[in-house]
Amino acid sequence: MVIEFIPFALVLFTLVGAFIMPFLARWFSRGCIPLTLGILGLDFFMAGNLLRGVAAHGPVAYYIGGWPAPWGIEVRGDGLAAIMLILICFIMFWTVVYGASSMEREITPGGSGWYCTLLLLITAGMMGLVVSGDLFNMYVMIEVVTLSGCALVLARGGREVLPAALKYLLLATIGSGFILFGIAFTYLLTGHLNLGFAAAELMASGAQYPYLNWIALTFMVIGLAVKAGLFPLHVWLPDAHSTAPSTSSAVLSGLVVKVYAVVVMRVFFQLYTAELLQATDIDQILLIMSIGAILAGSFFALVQTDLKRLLAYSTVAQVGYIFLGISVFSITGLEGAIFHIAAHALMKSMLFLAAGVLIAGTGSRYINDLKGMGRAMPFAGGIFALGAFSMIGLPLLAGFISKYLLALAGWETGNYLVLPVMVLSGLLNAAYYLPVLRVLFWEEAAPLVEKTGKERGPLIALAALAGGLLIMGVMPEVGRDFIQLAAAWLWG
Amino acid sequence: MDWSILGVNYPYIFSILLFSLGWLIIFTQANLIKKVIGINIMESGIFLFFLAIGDIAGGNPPIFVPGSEQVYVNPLPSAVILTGIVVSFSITALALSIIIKIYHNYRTIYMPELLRVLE
Amino acid sequence: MENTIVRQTFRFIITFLLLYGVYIIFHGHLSPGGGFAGGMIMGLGFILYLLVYEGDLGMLPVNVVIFLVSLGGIMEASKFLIGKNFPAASAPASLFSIGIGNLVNLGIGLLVAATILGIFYLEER
Repeated sequence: MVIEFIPFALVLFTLVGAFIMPFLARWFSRGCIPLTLGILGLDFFMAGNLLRGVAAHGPVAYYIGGWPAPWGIEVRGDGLAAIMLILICFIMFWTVVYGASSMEREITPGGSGWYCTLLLLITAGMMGLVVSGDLFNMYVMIEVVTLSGCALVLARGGREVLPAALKYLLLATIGSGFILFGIAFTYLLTGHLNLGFAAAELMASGAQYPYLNWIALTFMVIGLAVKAGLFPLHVWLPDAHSTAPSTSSAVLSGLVVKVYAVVVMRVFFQLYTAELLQATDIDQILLIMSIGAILAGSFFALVQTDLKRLLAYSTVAQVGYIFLGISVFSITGLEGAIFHIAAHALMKSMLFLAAGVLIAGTGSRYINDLKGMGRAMPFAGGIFALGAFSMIGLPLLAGFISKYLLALAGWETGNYLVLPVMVLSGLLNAAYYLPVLRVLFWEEAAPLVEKTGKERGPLIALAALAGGLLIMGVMPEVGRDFIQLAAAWLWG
Repeated sequence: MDWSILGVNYPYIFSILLFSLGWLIIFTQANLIKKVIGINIMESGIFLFFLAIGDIAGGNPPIFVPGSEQVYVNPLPSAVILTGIVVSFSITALALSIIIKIYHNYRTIYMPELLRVLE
Repeated sequence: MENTIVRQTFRFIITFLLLYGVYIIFHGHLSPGGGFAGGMIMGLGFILYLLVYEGDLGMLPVNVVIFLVSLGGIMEASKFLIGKNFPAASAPASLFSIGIGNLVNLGIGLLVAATILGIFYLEER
């Protein structure tokens, strides 16, 4: 297949699959999960081809319908898009492998076919978002991801999900309104919606309208920060990610919040270049918010007694890392942010899925009730420990490398505040993960509610994710060359 | 300051007024349904802003009549806003469905009471 | 509703309602509207039927909704494959001047109508 057609074909293929799925869910419900796995596997294969093609030939662009830009919609496959596509397909595939056995437990009965529809829709939305080269196409895909994400939270029946999902929906909609306002201002400034053309226009005449630049950037960044869960605007995140079913939490925490950080990267470095942004003070504000996120997320996580809420607050802190990498405005920072997106997606989805297995063993989400589960279900407990050590930042695991890259970026650009924050956050991560490990492994075991630790599906998925994490940690050169290339393309 | 530009750019001023009004409604009203209505008003303001960008004074509707030279209004914002309205409608539908289910489960749609029940 | 007047009025109105919806769908490239707005009007026609004749239809609307959603979605997703040099079917500014685009618009209209019907029916049950 021609390389430039792949990003578009991926999105279209997954979307058509998502539309076929309700049909299957109603009349042939045993075929839902195999079809989902087939579509996601084919997506992963195509994304791999795209990665190899982009590494060899450079960024590719495809114009839908053959209409050249600016009349047509441009679908751009550059380095960042290729990395995100591989990540999305990998994590969604193993999440569905995990979910094949856990769906009956956590989702409303009879709803597993519809859950697969939602998973395919959110995959199509996320993939469309990262490859889009047009601002309004990005907005439409952002809406698809928002609505599917809210429905993924609602997939677990019961009454405690409802206020959390409503909070998520209302705040995410406010964020979308702000993003649309920012896009409207950008259209007012440049007269183009295509990223490349708007960037050229901004470079030519953007410095003449400092206030309009400021307003457009502020609206877009605030809207994206609400949806990504950056510090003062993260209030929907703990409720939504802790009350959702385990597969939804893994997808939401692992992928959905990152995708908005990717949009921020595109707006900052592809639309406005770094020189235009130095005139505004947006990097200082984002830096303060990111450091606040890292510290506040960790402090909130220290006092949690619910395991999934602790992991959700940990996500708040890790989103701070990613925005820290973006806001220092250097290539190393961008590399660190992209590496942390990949590493944290793997780590957090692994942690949430392992937590799902552990919680299913006792039926309770509170840490004190999980005593000794690590020894009763050794594989799940071991994977949880691996994820926890990677978050703390032990060497040989991927978390260490992203912390090192971010600290290096802080040193290079003169933001010397970043280094003590990195060290402090590593210590805080240890402070809230190690007690959980102590309860899991060193306390008396309670009897298991069901024999759930021995199913093969979840364990294979956890093993695959852990394998990816170990590869990224032990042999970072495998990914780092391509990430450096992607960051350089985005920067220049 | 040149006050005549306010007279020419009145759609933008009204759109920002609608946006602020919707924003205010979301944050001060306790009734959940009113919050959803506030979101709709806020999005209406955004759509008005977008449409006002494309408007040219004295322009004709953008339907190409072959063989005549006319100044057409920009059709791009209309297409964009149509998609935006559909998105806003879907979000309103989903939010109202969640509120109906909250009422079935918690017997209240006032936010302070809901927070008190959740404690 | 058992009221004779409402039922007789409904029998007159429903024809024009659905026809108006189809008109807006098919004239999407000539006047404001298109698939979304026309689909909404058609969906409202279906809801009016459910309101006036309160019979127990069981799972039939749900089956219809699922079928139309899948069909409409696939018809809509195929619009991305239409190339630039697709020939126009007839003269500009006439009804079928976008050729296969009419089918795409119809797909979008069916999708939206089915969605509105589905939301109403599932909430009512």
